[in-house]
Amino acid sequence: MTAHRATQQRLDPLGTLAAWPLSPAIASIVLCYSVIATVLQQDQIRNPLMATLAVLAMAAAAATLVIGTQPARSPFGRRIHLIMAGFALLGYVCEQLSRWGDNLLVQDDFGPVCIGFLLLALAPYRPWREIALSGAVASIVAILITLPQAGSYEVHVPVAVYAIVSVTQILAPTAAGAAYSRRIVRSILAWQTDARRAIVARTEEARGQMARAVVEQQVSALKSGVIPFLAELLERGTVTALDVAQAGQLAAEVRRTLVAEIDRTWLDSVATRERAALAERGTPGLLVVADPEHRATAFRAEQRAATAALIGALCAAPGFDPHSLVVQITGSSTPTPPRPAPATLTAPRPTLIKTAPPTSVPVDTITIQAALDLPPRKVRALLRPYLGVIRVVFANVRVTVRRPSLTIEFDGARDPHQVGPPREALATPATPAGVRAKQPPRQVR
Amino acid sequence: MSLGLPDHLVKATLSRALARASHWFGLVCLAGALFSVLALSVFPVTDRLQITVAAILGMGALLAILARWRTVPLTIAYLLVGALCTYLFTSAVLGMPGVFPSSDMFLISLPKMALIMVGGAGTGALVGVLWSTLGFLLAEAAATLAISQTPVPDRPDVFTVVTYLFLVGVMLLDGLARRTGRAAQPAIHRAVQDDESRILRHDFDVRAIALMHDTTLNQLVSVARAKPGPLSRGLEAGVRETLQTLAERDWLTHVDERTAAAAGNDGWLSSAVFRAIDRMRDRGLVVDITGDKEALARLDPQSDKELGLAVQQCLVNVLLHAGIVTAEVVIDADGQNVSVMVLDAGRGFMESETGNDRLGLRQSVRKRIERLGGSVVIWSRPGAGTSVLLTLPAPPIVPSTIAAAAEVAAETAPAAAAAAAETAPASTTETAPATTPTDKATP
Repeated sequence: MTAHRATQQRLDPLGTLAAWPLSPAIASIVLCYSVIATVLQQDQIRNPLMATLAVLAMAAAAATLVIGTQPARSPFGRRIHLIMAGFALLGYVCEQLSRWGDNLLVQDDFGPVCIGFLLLALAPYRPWREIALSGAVASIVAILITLPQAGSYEVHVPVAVYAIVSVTQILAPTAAGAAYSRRIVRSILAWQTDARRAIVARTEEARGQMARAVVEQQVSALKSGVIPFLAELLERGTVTALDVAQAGQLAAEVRRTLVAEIDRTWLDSVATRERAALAERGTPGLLVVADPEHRATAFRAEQRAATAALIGALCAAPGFDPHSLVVQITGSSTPTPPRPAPATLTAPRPTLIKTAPPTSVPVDTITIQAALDLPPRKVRALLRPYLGVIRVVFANVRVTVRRPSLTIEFDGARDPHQVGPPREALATPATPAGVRAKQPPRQVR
Repeated sequence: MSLGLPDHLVKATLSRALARASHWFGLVCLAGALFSVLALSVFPVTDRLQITVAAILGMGALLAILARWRTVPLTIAYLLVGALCTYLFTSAVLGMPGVFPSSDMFLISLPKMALIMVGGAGTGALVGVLWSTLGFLLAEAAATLAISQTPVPDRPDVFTVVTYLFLVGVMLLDGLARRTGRAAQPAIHRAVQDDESRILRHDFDVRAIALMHDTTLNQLVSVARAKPGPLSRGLEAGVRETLQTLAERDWLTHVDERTAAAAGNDGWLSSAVFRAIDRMRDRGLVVDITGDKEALARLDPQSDKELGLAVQQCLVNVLLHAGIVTAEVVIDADGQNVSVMVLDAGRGFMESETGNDRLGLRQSVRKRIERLGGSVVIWSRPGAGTSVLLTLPAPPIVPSTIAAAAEVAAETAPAAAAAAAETAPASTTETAPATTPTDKATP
C-alpha cells in the first residue's frame, strides 16, 4: 500500500480497535450540540423547517460516522467519508439558511464546530490528505456563507473576523486530525520496515536448520526403500524380473509422494502445524482443508498470515472441538466466462462492486467452520482482533455464531494486475519442465 | 501489511501522534488570533497592536519549536510566553471601546486553547494531562486578569473548557485504555514470520523434489524398463551415480548452496539464549545478533538455561523501560569464558536509583549469573542507553569431543552414501557421460 493512501486502520487494525470509543463519543457531542444550539437560539431562527433539516443532517452525519467506524464494518472507505462530510456540510448550509438575516453571531453556530469534530474523528480511519482536503473545502464553504451575512451580525467588527472565527472552528480540529493521521501512519510504516527487516534476518538465521530438515526428510524416506534397493542391485550386478517389478512399484510410490508434495499449499502446512500443536496439547484433532483447485496459492503474504493467525487462534481457543475445523476455498475462476456468483456470495457490499466486479476479477471465498463451545459473545470477543485484521486484507467478512457452530466466510479478490496465480504447466514427474526450472517459483502448482 | 505496533511501542507512538495533533490545533488557533488582530487593526483602534502581534508570533514560533523538540524548559517557556500573549491579546481585543458586549467571545478563546495544547508535550498520558491543566489554569488566570482591567463583563468561556476536557479525555483514553487483543498482536507477528519461513521452506522443498525427480525416479524407471539379466554398463553407472548423489552433502548443496558452504552446526539455534531472543522477537522487539554465536554451544545445559533466562530478562527490561524498537546482542568468547552483551539505545537508568521493586535486574539477572560463577556488569546513564554484559565460565571444547560428535554424525549418514563414496574415485570418469542418458529416460 502506498504511503499516500495508508491509514492507521489499514496498517494497525488492532490499534484502531482501541480508539473506537472516540467515534460514538464525538458523534454524541455533535448531536447534542446541534440540538442544544438550535433550542437555545430559536429566536434567531427564521425558517424552522430548515433548522429541523439542519439538525437531521448533522444527526445523519454523526450516525454515518458511528456506523462506518464500527469494527464490523472496517475499513472506513472513501465513499463513507464523502457521505459523512456531505451530510455535515448540508447540515451547516441548512443551519445558516434557517437563520439567514437574523444570525447574531457566528461563534455559536453549531455547523463549523460539528464539521471540525467529525473530521477530527476520521483521524485513525482516513489518509491525512483527505482529511485536510475535506477541511479546506468546508472552510471555503464557511467563508462563502459567512461573508454575505455581514449585515445581520450583532458585534461591529470587520466581516473578515467572522470568517476567521468560522474557519478556525473547522480548521483547528481538522488540522489536528490530519496531523495525527500523518504522524501515526509514518510511525507505523517505520516500524513495519524495521519489523520486515528483522523477519527476513530471522528467517535467514534458521535457513541452515530448515535446509537440513528438508534433506533429512527426503533422505529418511528414501532410506527405507529406494536406497537399499539400488545398493543391492548394484552389488548383485544383475536385474531380475522381480527387480523390474519392484522398481516400477517404487517409482509409482515416489511419484505419488512427489505429486502430493507439489500439491501442498501453505494452507496445508498451516493445518499440519496446528494439528501438531493440538497433539502437543494432548487433544489430537482432525483439521480438514478443502481446496481442490489450489486457490490458496493466489493469496498474498498478508492474507496468508492473517488467515493462519485466525486458524491458530481458533485451534487454541477454549472449548474448541479438535475434530471440527474445516477450511474450504471456493470461488469464481479466471479463464472461463463470468459465472453466476456462488450462493455464498450474497449481496456484496456496494464498495466491492465498484472496485472488484466479480465478473472480471477472480474472487476466492474462504469458509472456515469450527465448533466452539463458548457463549457467542465470548466467541466474538475472542476473535475480534483477528477478524479486525482479516477485514482489512479481505473483503466481505461474514461471521455466523450459533453455539457451538461458528462459520467465518470472507472473499479475497485477486490483484487484477496479476490475474490468477502463476499457472504454469502442472509440475508433475510426467512434465518435469516445471520442477526443473533453475529458479523455482515460490509456490508451484 | 497489517503488522500493527507491538505493545511496547504503542504508548510512545500514540503520545507522539497526539502531541503532533495538539500542536497543529494550537498553531491554527494562533493563526486565527493573528489574522483577527490584523483584521481588527483596520478599525481605528488598539494602542498595543504591535506588541500583541509580536506576542502571538512568539508564541507560534515557540509552539513550532516545541513540536520538534519536546523538552521541559521549552514547555515552561511556552507556558510563560503563552500566558503573556493571552493577557495582551485579551486586553487588546476587549479593550476596544464599545465593540464586544462580553468576554465570552470565541476570539478570546483562541490563544487560551493554543496554551492548553501544550499537553501533548508529555511522554505519558498523565504527564500530558498535568501540563494541559497547568496551561488551562495559566490561560484562565491571564484572561481573567486582562478582563478585569476592561469594562467588559466577565462570562465563562465554554470553548476553552470544552477543548480542555476533550483533550484530557482523549489523552486518558489513549493512555489508560487497555488495548484490546493484546495477545493477538504477537500471534499475528508470529504468523507473518511463519509465513516467511514457509516460503523459504517451500523453496527448499521444490528443489529437493526436483532433485528427487531427476535422480531417484528416473533411475527407478530405467530399472523398471531394463531387461532381466546382467546390469548394462549405462544402467550400472546410472545407479552408482544416483546413490552418490543421494549422499547427504550433495543434497544439501543442491537444496541450498549457502547452507552447504557455511561450515559449522546449528548449536546456536538450539541454545536457550536463541530461544529467549526468539520469544522477545515475537513480542515485537527487533534484536540484532552479532559475534561468535556458536560459542554458546560450549555452555553446559544448566548454564545455557540460566543464561537464556537472564538474557530474556534483559530484553524484557528493554521492552518495558527503554521505549525503543531495537536491541543488540553481542556474543563473545575467549579461552575461558563466554559472554553475552545486551545493548539498547533507550532511556537508560541509574542502577542505584532503581527501586527495590525492580527485581528483574537484581534477582533474575545478577543473582542468576553470579550463582554460576559468572559476572554481570551494567553500564547505563539516563538518556544514554543501557548495556548489560553477562559473562559465564565455559571451558573450550576439547578436540576429542568434536571427534566424538563427528563419529555420531558419521553413524547416522546413510550407509549407501558410504558405499557410493568407496566406489566414487574409480567411477568418476564413467559417470560423467552417463548422466545424459538417465536424464532422457524420463517417462
